[in-house]
Amino acid sequence: MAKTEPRTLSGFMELLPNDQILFNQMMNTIEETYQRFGFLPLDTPIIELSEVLLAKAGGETEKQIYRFNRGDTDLSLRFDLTVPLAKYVAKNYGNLSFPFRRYQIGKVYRGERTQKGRYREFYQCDIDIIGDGELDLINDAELPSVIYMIFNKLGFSNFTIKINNRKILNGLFQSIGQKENSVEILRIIDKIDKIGKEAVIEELEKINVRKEQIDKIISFIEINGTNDEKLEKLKDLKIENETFNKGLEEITYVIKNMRLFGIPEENMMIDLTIARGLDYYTGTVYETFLNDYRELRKCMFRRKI
Amino acid sequence: MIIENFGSVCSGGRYENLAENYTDKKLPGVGISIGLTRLFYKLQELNLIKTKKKSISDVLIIPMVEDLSVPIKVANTLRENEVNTEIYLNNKKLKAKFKYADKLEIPYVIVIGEDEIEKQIVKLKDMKTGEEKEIKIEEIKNLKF
Repeated sequence: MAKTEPRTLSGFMELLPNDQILFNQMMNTIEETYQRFGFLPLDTPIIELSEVLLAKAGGETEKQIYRFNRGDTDLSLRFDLTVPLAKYVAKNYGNLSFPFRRYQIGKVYRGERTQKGRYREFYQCDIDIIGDGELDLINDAELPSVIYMIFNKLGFSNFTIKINNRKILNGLFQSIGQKENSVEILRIIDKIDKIGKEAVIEELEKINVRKEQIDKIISFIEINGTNDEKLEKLKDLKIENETFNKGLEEITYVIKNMRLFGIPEENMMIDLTIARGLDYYTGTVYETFLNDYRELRKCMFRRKI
Repeated sequence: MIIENFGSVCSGGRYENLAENYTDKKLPGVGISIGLTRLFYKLQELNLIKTKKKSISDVLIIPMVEDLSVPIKVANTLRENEVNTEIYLNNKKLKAKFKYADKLEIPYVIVIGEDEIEKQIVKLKDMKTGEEKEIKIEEIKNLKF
């Protein structure tokens, strides 16, 4: 009998039992910690109606969607857990208690170009807190403390939760009269870690940002020091712009409360260059980075995941 | 030092209106997402995590008898006490069964043969130390692992 070669699609992770045990232990740690903070479990379908899933999508996202027809129905695989959450909250609004704190751990699908380390099917482990009409700023300080506990439990000690506030950046652009270009400028600044300062300046020149404006932008993103020093230097810029000052006030408050939630100073850092989710996030933004991995190797061996 | 190619392992932020495409209700929120598959891949690639466990069983029961009622009863008792227990349910020589436990690094093995059943005991072997103990079947319920 002819045999079919047993293959797995590239971009799809499939582990041997010993690795799967480890993977699941990590996932359990994440889930237990989410529960420790009172987040409610949620599971939504992997397949949704394209019309629902793609209500907002456009550009890059749309190109990556796994989309197909079953009979006459246009279907898509979820590409993140946020859009299904939005649908779910809108649909079940009357039956949920707000602030609605939910966690969801599940696979999502994106038809990315296949290359090493890029997955087309991958797990996301999400927590969100949704307010009805409003949501107090202190919530922005609690989420990083969840992340802190998780990475701690996973055995890492040398990691940094970087935080920024989009209003600071937007306000800065308004104040130098570059509001129109702000999305483009943010996109360029966001690459500074990858391409370096000179290349950033070059790209800014290309989109006709004037020299003195570039100087302001660069001196702004080069603000350094401890978290408190950075806040102080931001204040010292004396930028008279309402959005900027609102952002500064917010990040000051969030940092203060992150300390209250028990995040050590060495694990959190204001990073004014973080500008992710360009058209989506409006205030606080976070990124978490694992630092020196030689140190990390030690602690992974020491601790039981 | 930041590992250059490690990138961000989790990210998120505050948004103004979660569900504007589905409802008129204003629903602001804040969220964070951990990309577990990517995190796991990176940790493995950089050799930062090593698998410690090859099995999730605490105990492997090796029956050396035809009638499996005693081994099954022992397994039931252990499982009721939340001990992860598997029985080697395939007719092989004792050596092969031990090899299985060894390969999967299952920490304890319980051997049950005709002699043991006659004496109403089991043989419990600590696979790490090689130490062997005889345990009365009625005392299995008190075993801690």
